[in-house]
Amino acid sequence: MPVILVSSDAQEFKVDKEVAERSILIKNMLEDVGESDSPIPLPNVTAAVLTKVIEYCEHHRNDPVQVPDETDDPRKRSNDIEEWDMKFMQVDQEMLFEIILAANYLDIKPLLDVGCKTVANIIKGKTPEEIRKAFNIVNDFTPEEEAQIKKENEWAEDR
Amino acid sequence: MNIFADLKAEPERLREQEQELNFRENTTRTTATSKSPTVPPEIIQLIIDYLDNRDLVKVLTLNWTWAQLVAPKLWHEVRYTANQNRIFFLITKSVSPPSADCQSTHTPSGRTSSPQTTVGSSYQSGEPPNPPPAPKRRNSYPWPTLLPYHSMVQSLHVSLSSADMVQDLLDMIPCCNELRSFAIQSAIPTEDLLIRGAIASACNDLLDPLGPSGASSALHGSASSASLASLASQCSQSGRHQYSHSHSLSLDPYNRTTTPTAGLQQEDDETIMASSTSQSGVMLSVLANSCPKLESIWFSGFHPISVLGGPTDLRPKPPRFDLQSYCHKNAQLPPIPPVPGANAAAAACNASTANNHNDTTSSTPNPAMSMQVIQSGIRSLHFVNCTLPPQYLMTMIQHSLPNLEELHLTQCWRGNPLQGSLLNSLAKICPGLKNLTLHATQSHRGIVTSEHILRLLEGLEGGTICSPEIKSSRPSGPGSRSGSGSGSGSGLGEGRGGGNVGSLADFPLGTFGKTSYTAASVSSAGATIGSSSVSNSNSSSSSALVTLPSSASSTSDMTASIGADQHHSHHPYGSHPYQQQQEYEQEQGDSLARSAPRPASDLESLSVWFTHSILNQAIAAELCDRERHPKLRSVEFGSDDAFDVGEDLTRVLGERRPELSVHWVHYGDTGDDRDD
Repeated sequence: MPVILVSSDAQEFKVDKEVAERSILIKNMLEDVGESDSPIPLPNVTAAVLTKVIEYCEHHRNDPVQVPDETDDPRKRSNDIEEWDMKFMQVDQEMLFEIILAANYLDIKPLLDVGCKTVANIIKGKTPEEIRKAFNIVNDFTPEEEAQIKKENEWAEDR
Repeated sequence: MNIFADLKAEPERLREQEQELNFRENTTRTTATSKSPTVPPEIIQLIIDYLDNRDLVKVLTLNWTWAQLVAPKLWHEVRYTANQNRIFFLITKSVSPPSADCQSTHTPSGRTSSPQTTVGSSYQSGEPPNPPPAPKRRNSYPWPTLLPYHSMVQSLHVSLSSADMVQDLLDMIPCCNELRSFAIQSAIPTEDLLIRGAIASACNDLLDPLGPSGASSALHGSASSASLASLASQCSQSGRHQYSHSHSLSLDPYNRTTTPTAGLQQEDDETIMASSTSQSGVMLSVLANSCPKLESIWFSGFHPISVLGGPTDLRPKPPRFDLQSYCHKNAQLPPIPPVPGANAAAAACNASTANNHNDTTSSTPNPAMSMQVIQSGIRSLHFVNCTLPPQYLMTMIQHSLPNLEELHLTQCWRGNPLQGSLLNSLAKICPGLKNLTLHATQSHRGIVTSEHILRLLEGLEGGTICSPEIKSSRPSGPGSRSGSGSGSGSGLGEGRGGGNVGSLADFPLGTFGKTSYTAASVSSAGATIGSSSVSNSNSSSSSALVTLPSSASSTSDMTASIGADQHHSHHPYGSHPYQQQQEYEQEQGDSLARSAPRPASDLESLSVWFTHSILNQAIAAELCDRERHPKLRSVEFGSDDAFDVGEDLTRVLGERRPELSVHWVHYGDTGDDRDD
């Protein structure tokens, strides 16, 4: 049975229930509401972003449901992005952030994982100045402040 | 007077610093967003889990927004020993408050007027900050940190390797107001810590204004104690040290030349307990008062009094306290050197006042110092390898831990052992326990028996399922900790006499045939009577295990059998005729109470293993009762006995309540490493 999703800019998307239920948020809503033809409003997701999200869910519709493992440290597995996912994430930064926020809102853990790993990989191996440039970050520290805050936290590098 | 002025000023300084930082945060956000779109803060929050520490330190320096969002990830958990070089960033309390313009630039070298300028300069040049001249022991951070790291620390693990660390902790902890979990393990000889703690306790009794009885009574009490005279002497000797931390919350009276000459005795505990009658808890007091979110504390390897101090009375204090007159009165007394904990505790109390706990009506001259209803939120208490006097533990729970839900005692039963009778009292003062652990790998036959455990289990009850009839039939029941606990000492007779102590008759399980029950009760009594008769009972009772009852009818003859079996048996500690009479009368009352349904407990998990057999049929029957323990999910028993009946009973228990996770700890499995 198809489910109708409505983006924040009032566009309707008809998707299989199986696909829509990759989102835990939508899955819970459907379970709460029961059988219904009513469209599901997603006020935090634009049509452009929802298109990408649906594309991801379509591709991963048969994936097994991820069981959260508390011992699994995401920092140790930031390089294990599948090839399709890597290509899927080759979007401009604004869209990348929008996808991550949408995945967080819709509670799609695998998509959130992939998005965060992509951003983390941009940061890794770069100097602070390169990171600022990559993300258009304005440095509002004074040189003294920057040195001090580094000094106060550099212990963590040895941890 | 100067001390109190400092105490009042210290939280103000910290508040000002935090307000300044909040202002900077808001300003920064506005500025950053107005210039150009950048990484949304939500994204930063989401990705920090995917960065290692090296990357986190890097992104911390990107700008203020990133710093404020990433730093809590790094400072969430502090292991004192593993990252000692960051501890001095947390010890900032002895620092003069920065001026507003200085803080806006945070240029350490610009603080030329500060007494700590020398330290600051050397730090800026890349060398570790030089401590003040004498004694050279501490590396306090010489200016306010850029971010409020104190309030980011949620978990603090300390491996105590020098007594000086205690002092540093006492400076740090009052600022760590977001602390959830505190663990401390000591590698210092307990005697060293004890002497230090005793001095602190003695002096705190003299100094601390928080005591309900005021200074004069504390002085009188102290003077009456011969041992405290010697402590005061040590204290005055140590007071000759000149400390340059004039703004420090407290000074260290620890005398490094003191050599412990004797081990700890029961009398030592009593002396210290007597000296610390109500208010001289040091670290416990600071923790409880200044960390409102603290849920779990874990102690290992020391005598708790030596570090924690005496149990702190956190019950409501008298609302009216004239601080000025107290200070005036104290000013007439001979000067007493400041001691660890006293000032910190007062500062913590002051801070907790500001943290708007439940208000009591107060019209004290200084509202900032008015007494509050302090209630500790500590839910979990874990002692490992501690010399733990029962009196201390009971007082601690009763006075300081009103919300205790988890109690874990591992290897705390030797030396100055906890006794089984403590368990009887425990159910009275802490009936809402959810998780209980009692482990020991040393022999404790006769000290902790099956009956003690049974009494404890029977005494547990939650606060929700209790009809008024039941409450009214049990006027001195365990529901009210303040009332029932005070009289429940550690004597077995008192423990047995509790208003809510049940028996096997309460278990709606049994269609024990008299013969089979008697057979089982031989084992039960044998196991509970103590060391003299327990050793040979195990194998003979094995056949009775399969008769663990499953129906819900209890019979009167069973009650009679139990009465004959248990109450006329040999008492492990002997019994005075008057005491026997009292017990008899109490039992009559108990039998009436038993006729009413007992309220359900909140017990969720139970783990008990000693070297000798504990689990018997009565305990298994109690645990089988779903109505009594509806929330129970995990049960673990064990012993070193090769043929312990408990192993079969755990199997039966698992069959009767398949929802339970039931484990039997086999012979040889009970190693220390399970809990360390």
